[in-house]
Amino acid sequence: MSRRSLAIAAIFALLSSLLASCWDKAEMNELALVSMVGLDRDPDSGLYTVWLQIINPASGASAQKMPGGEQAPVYTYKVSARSFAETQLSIYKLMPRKMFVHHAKAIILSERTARRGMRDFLNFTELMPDARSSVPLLIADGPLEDVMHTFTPLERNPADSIASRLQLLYELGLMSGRRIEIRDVIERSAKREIIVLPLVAPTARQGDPNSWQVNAEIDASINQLKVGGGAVIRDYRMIGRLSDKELVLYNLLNGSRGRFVRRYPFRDGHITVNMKSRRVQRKLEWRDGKPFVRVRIRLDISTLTMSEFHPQTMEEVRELERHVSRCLADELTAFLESARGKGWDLLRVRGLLRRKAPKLADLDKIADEAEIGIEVESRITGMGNLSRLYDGTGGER
Amino acid sequence: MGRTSRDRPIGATLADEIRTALGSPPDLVCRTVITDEGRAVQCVYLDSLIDKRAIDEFIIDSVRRNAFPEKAGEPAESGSPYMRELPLRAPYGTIRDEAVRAVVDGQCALIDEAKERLCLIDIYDAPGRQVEEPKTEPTIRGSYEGFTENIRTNIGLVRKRILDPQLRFERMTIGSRSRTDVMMIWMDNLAPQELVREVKRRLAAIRTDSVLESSYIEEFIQEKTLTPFPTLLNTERPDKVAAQLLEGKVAVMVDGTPFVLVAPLTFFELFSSAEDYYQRADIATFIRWIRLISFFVAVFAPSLYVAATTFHQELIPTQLLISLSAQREGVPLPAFLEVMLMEIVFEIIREAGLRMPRAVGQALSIVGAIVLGQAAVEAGLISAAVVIVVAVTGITNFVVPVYSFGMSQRLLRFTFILLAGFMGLFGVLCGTLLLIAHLVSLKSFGVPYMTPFAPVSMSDWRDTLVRTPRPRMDPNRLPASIRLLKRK
Repeated sequence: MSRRSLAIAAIFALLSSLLASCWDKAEMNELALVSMVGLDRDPDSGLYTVWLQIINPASGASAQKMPGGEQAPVYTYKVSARSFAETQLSIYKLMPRKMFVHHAKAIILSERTARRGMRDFLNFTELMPDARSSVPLLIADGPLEDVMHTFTPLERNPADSIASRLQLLYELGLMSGRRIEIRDVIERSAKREIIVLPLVAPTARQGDPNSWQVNAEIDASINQLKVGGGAVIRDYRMIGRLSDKELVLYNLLNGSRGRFVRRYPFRDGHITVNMKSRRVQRKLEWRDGKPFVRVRIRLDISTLTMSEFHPQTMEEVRELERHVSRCLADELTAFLESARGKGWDLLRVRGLLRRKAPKLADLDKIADEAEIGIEVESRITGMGNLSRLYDGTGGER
Repeated sequence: MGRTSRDRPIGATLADEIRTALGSPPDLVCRTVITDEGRAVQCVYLDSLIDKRAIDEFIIDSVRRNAFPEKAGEPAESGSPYMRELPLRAPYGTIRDEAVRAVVDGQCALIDEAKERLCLIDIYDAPGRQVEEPKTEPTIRGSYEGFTENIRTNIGLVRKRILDPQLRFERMTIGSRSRTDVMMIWMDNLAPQELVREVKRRLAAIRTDSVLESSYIEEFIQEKTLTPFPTLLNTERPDKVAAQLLEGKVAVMVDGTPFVLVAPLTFFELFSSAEDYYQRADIATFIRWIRLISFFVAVFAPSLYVAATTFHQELIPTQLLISLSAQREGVPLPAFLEVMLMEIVFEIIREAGLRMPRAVGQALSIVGAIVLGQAAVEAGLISAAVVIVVAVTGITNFVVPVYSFGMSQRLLRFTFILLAGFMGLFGVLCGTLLLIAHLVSLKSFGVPYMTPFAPVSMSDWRDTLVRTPRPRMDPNRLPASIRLLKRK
């Protein structure tokens, strides 16, 4: 390499230090890692209040030997301003580090904000280049201030605790869905379809939940957060609620594949069936010029949780399968009828019609008139450890 | 004839001239042996370069017994390169130069005045190591023999592994002052003629005063100087050289060093060790992948750490980020400087460990690795994660079986840390693209360095990404690099 080439290379190497990325750099200990965001808007004053839960790195397992290892796992900062942008700036009156939202695990909106509409907030979020749309959005069922000022046992970081529970509720109870993130709300609302977001509520309080009493308290059902129920959102606005039981049916109809348990009357008593959704198909058909939505649900059921009845023959197995299918189909039909009565298109028939028959005029009316047929096909795939249940009088039956 | 112009016996004069030409060294021995017939024979040799037993038990005894050919005037044709006879009638200057050169080469010069003969007997035996285990390439299974500094021993180590008449040796003397013996070795029926010619041509073109190590030769005959990657394999394992020769490659041995050069070399051969072929195929494949992974860790780990912790914190899993962030609390230096500092300290410790006497070196490594690392973390100068990254990088650097390739990795690592410090992952990506472009542009004796991936030769992947069991290998199939040359 000639001397000139070397000189040019050296100059370029020196100039590289002036590259813009050098100014973008931020050391980890200069960042405030946001784990959860709370948002409320006072309808009277129009004032936005934002709570930011910032992870305290000097707390937790990684910092056990460091001074401060026994500090709060998160700190909640609260700021109020007329606009989101102003709240973002005002936060630095309190916070000494640069806000870093990439690792936020949950965003919680107060119910009143959700009912008035969350469009402005979503617009603001989407405009920010460093914001993420893959964060679960939840609605506070109760005072948001309480939600943001509550530690959670076991998982000390409330955002981690909520994220973990959403996952478990999906896998083991079907009480949460996969489509609960910001992008899902935007996508569904843009299509004028309904989406159901999880609700989070503070539980009963005793003592000071904002203290070490949380760790000292053995009763984990108090002084913490509870995730349950669903907020029905349409057009960026909360329009109603679903109970836990309804939430399971909603998630099942929307293709979630978690495991869940239902209790149905059977013969002279009841049975508790453990079920897992295998496949959900929605098919649009036309009957007498009217749309007919056929929903086919294939389920794997198991008698693992069925302490009331244990099938002994193939006939009994088939009977059980038919019975469970029928009960679930009836339940789903009733649920959908009730929702349609409220004007909620939880099966998203409108979207199906738009996709399959885009040239239809007056889509809303046709969707409302659409017939729905639910077909459930269940198959026993799992049995308990017993070949027959123990007999005797010491039981409920 | 037989007399100088000053009418002095030519034997004595020649002995004196040899002494003068060599500057009367203390190891020069000039002794006069009287034969049974009463003739005086001058015996001149360098005591430090010859086999003393051969002198005492064979040469002196033979001279005394007059065991050399009797025919006066006409020197006998011994037919051996180790024994030459020259008539003293030849031009005196030539005889003198020949004698001086022979003595310096470790030969014994016998000057027989009466028979007008100069007899040169090669009894070279310079002090040196015996055959020992290779220091830089030890293996668990396989031969424990390594090359020595003696080229003749080294030839024997190769020869005894390939008892094939097609094995060819060509001797050259390189270095106007050092006059070092350089030996080219190849299999006549396997090595491409073009490769043999090219190696010969490049060796013949070397103009230098001395060759003290094979790296001198390497620098002269390699294709590209400005590259961190070795384009010739250097090894001190005779079994490895034998294997390479059997693959049609050419080896270059240099007297005075145990490191033998082998050409051509491709990038992926740097990941294969002699032991790969002594282990079971599945284990060898696993270890080969470990080496590949180690290469990437050794080159990229610190730069990715710097890039991720300084520019792209969103890429780090939350829990890990919290943990790293906790470790960085109170650390005064930016992550880039932290890593740079630790890497430089590590290199210093390593270099010091290499130069220090073994006993001290061990203590030094303890001080360096444990005390310094632990103390630096506890003092809050650096974070524990950086110590882990640097330590892992350091260890993975030693996984590659070729030491010179390990050195290349060290250079690359620093380059990538700089790029990551300035430009984050963008810099690392740019560097990686440049590195790939550079690797693809490299050639070793006309063979593309990235063979068999660029150009693609999928059938050779069976001894690149994996090590196929021996029964599934075709023993007659030469590697892609050699096939490419044969096709030309």
